[in-house]
Amino acid sequence: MKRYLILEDGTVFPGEGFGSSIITTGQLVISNNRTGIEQSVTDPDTEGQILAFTIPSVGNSGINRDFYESINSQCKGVVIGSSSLSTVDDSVSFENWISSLKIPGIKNVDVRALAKHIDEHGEMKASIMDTHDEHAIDQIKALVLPPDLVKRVSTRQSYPNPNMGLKIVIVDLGLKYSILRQLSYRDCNSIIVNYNSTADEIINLHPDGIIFSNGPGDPKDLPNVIKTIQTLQKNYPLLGIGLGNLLIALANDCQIEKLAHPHHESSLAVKEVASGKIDFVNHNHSYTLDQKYIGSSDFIVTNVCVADGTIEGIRHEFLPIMCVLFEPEAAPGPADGYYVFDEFIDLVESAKKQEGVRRQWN
Amino acid sequence: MELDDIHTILIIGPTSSDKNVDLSTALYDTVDILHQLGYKMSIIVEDPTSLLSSGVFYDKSVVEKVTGDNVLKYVQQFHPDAILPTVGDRNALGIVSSLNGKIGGTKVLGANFAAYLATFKRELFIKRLTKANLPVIKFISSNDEKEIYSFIRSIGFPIIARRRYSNRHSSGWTNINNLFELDNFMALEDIEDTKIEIERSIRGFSEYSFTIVRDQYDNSSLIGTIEDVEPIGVHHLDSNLVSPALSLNDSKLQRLRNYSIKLARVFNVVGVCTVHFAYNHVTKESYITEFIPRLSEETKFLEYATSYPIATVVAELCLGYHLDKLQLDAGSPFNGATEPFVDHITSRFPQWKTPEQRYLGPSKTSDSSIIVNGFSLEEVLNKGALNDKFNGNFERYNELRKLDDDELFEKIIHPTNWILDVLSEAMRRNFEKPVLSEITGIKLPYLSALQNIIDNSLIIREGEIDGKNVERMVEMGVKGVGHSKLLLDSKDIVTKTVVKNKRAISVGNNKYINHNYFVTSGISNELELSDRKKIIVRTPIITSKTDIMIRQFVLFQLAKSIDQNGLEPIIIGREPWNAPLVMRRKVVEIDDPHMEIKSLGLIDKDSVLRTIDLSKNIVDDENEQVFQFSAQELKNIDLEGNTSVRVMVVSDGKNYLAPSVIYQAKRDNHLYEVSSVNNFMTVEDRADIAHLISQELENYDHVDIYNFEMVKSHDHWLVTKMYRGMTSDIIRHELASSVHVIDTLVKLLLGNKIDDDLSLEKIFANFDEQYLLAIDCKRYKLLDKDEMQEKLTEYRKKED
Repeated sequence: MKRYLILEDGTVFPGEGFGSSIITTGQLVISNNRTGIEQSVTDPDTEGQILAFTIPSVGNSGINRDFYESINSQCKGVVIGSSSLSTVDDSVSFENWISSLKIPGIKNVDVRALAKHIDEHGEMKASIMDTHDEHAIDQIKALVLPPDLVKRVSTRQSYPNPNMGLKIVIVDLGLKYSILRQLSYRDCNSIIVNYNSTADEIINLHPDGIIFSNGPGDPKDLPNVIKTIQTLQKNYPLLGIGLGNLLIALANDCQIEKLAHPHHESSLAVKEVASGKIDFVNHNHSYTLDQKYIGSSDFIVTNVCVADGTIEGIRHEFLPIMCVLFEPEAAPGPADGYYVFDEFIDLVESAKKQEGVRRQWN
Repeated sequence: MELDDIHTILIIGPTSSDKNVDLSTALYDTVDILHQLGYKMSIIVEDPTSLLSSGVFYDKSVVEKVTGDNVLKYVQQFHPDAILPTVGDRNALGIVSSLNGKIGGTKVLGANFAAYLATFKRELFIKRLTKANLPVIKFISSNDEKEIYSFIRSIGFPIIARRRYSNRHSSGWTNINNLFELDNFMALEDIEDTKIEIERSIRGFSEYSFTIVRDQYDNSSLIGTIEDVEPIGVHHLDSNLVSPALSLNDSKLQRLRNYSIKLARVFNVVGVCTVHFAYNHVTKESYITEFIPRLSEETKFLEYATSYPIATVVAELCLGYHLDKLQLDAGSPFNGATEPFVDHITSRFPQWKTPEQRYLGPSKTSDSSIIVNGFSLEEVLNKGALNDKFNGNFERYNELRKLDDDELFEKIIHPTNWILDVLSEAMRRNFEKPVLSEITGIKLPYLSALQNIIDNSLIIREGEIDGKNVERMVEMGVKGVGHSKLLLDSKDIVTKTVVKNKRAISVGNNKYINHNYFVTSGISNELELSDRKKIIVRTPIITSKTDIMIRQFVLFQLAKSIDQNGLEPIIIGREPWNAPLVMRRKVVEIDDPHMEIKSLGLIDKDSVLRTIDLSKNIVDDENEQVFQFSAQELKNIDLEGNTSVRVMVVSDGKNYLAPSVIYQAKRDNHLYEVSSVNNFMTVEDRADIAHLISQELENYDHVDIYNFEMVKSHDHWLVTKMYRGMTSDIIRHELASSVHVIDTLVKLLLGNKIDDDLSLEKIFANFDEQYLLAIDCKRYKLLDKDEMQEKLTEYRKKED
């Protein structure tokens, strides 16, 4: 069935529909992920987004449900160039999988032209529809994207991911399962809590360290979380990932800005400032830290993006707080960033030791 | 020796074997950047013509057999600070591994001795990988029966086995599937000093190769992945290749990436490393089968596919540069810390000189390859392996149609170079895809793509094309693949054929402009042309290594000359030209396997001054603006003599120049050839030859290149052969002469004239310092004027 991807500015990309036949509207995001379609579609970061994949022949490698990053699919639609009807491991085909998730899709779209258009004109809203008249374009323009994206993806109830090691509380702003996997590898006894949990509620769980996870949307829509961070950071080691990083920065008088060329790529180089070591990691963010405010803050820059110099990681000079804007848990992408979890565990353990020493002296 | 102390580098050049891959562009890029960075370089090379245009960068060119002894001799005499073996193919690695402990302080760049040795010695390779916990196929080499049986019990069947004799030769590998076959193999012969080598069989596994670059600070970047369409059992370069590897999901890809980086670390490879894997998608087993710590066919292919300047980057990394702080030509910065993202598929299809069927196995049989780009599997298959213009697929189809099902099944079981055609025919007869996949080891997505192509051609054949079908065709990948006109003519235009940039290196390298395009489909046309007048060059299809060398050389000279004369060179070919990095900014290159660019009308006709056609009559344009550059025979008399010359002549239609004369003499059962002998010719010979040329050219009044062969018989010269256009002598003429033949031709094509009052002396004038002597078409020497005079006198004495 012929369908159209219509952008907010009136540009129309024709293609053929697959998956659900409903009309969908969302923020159009160009994903340059090389692999990991399953991870991308189920990533809570993609809540409210229409994902356009620029890789060719999508779905050749098959669909593996073990790679899910949340129970349900999160994105509102998918746009692809070419797809494969068969898979190498005889698993379900990409199109059938998208159909089973009841997501609308559109294929045979010139995704390269689309990516170039978005690169030149910035991210915008888009819709997958059956027609492309003026009325449709007006509808997209009039649509206001919901500000409560984190609320939609965050867990409603706290739940544990038990183990015998350090007790880590994770504030779920749109948590990816791979973060839990990484913590499990390190024997962490994790408890995942709703994004709106108060500082007292978290303190009552007696955490050794706290992680503010990745998530979708604009961090400025989450003033309560910023307040929670301001209370917690004095007493607990914190790790901020993605959205969590931006919120921690905002809680410490830093400012954020929207990237002219957002990072949605599964393998982009990041340099560790101290050692010069280059790692390839997954990026999925449209915001970054405003460099002007970092200098006057108590943060030092630990990682930068090699390609455009964007700040990708910061660390507090006095408090045990570390943050990365990229996604150290990969999924998809190279595993080069796993060390971030090791460093956080070290940070938590040394904070624990210091706490013990302090108690002894007092 | 520290990297900072390196100032002089000896480059081990390629051998002149036809079996080797042509790395001339990689060599050019390597020495170009090292020259710009201020290093002094020497090269040992067998055939100086293989240096093409890179000759200017060398301090010293030693023309010798590329052997360990000659390299050692050079090192002992000139004490270079370092040796660079990465551009010398496999031979150079063998030489370097034999020099361990003999070259004192001279540093070997690229990797350590153990790495180079491990590319040859299987035991060392397996030992090192096993120690590093990298997955490698278990292997035993033993003459103890007990040990062998115990080893097989631990790995299970199937296995492959061979006998290694004491003279280092071996029997071929034998497939062994059970104990019975093993007992038979063991009982076969019992020669003393024979070792039996046994490996777990990985026949039928999928093959992948990963190429990474690594700097000395342990930063690595995955440049690209390649997937073989055919499974292991068929030589990698006889197999159809696809990049990127589409059948690897994220976890498989990352696992193999990690292995590649770890392997490079184990052998301390600084530069480039291509690692080959065998992967079983059912059992999820993976093994490293080999690694290549040098520039290779894979790096060449990936440079096409990703536009990442691998050769240049590798040269800098070898000398200690940081991965993210590299530079390209003219000092422009380049961030090598990029894992190129490609939004298109690039495929390499092997080519054979003749079209007949060949059984494929572990040894390479193909002669060259075709590379194509597209946005779907169907598109690249249509453009490459199923492109009738390259492979005569229609004839194959007719031949296969005659077979009955049993005969066809026979062809499915034994892999041949026709396998994709055979599978297409099998699917036309409704053979089941999963069964075909099981037997051939070719993965299902490829079979589905073939099925789509078959369905699509049925629609076209039945003439059932309507708006709906056009959409279906687009879905099936029929985009810009010969049917584009059909799509353009249909009422409901879903897509249109356009030209797209082969850009790949994205975010990190916005300033790295790539003027390499390919014809495909889409909405926006990306072809960007300057206001300059243009000369279009149509490139030939290549079928051998010599063809590649000539094409590389001629295109480089043509493009350079067109650019220097103030015009824009547009190189259009059925497959990509591997342009040296320095030229990539200056030329617009379009890969057009179905020759659609003309019908698309994307290049303004008025802006094109001339078309130079090297494609041997592929341009069907009767237009006078087309200049045929490929050789066309005008005269052929069957007469042989002991002394002959070959003369190249550039004519403006009235006067001519003869930049180079090759002198050929048969003496003592050897064939001697001297290039640019014009400087040594007697006045009489010169006048005779000039007279003959004038006579032959009397009736031709166009700008052209002519090649003459003349034989001296009874003290008189006779013209035996005459060609219009370029022959394979072009490189030798151009290298031997101080007149740039190709540049002169371009100038004449632009309307310049040769002086009317040229004397014979001037017509043949040449002022070279070095002359090329070839013995039996193989052994080349560069001699200065005195040495050459001496040689010639010697030959002429024998003649008298």
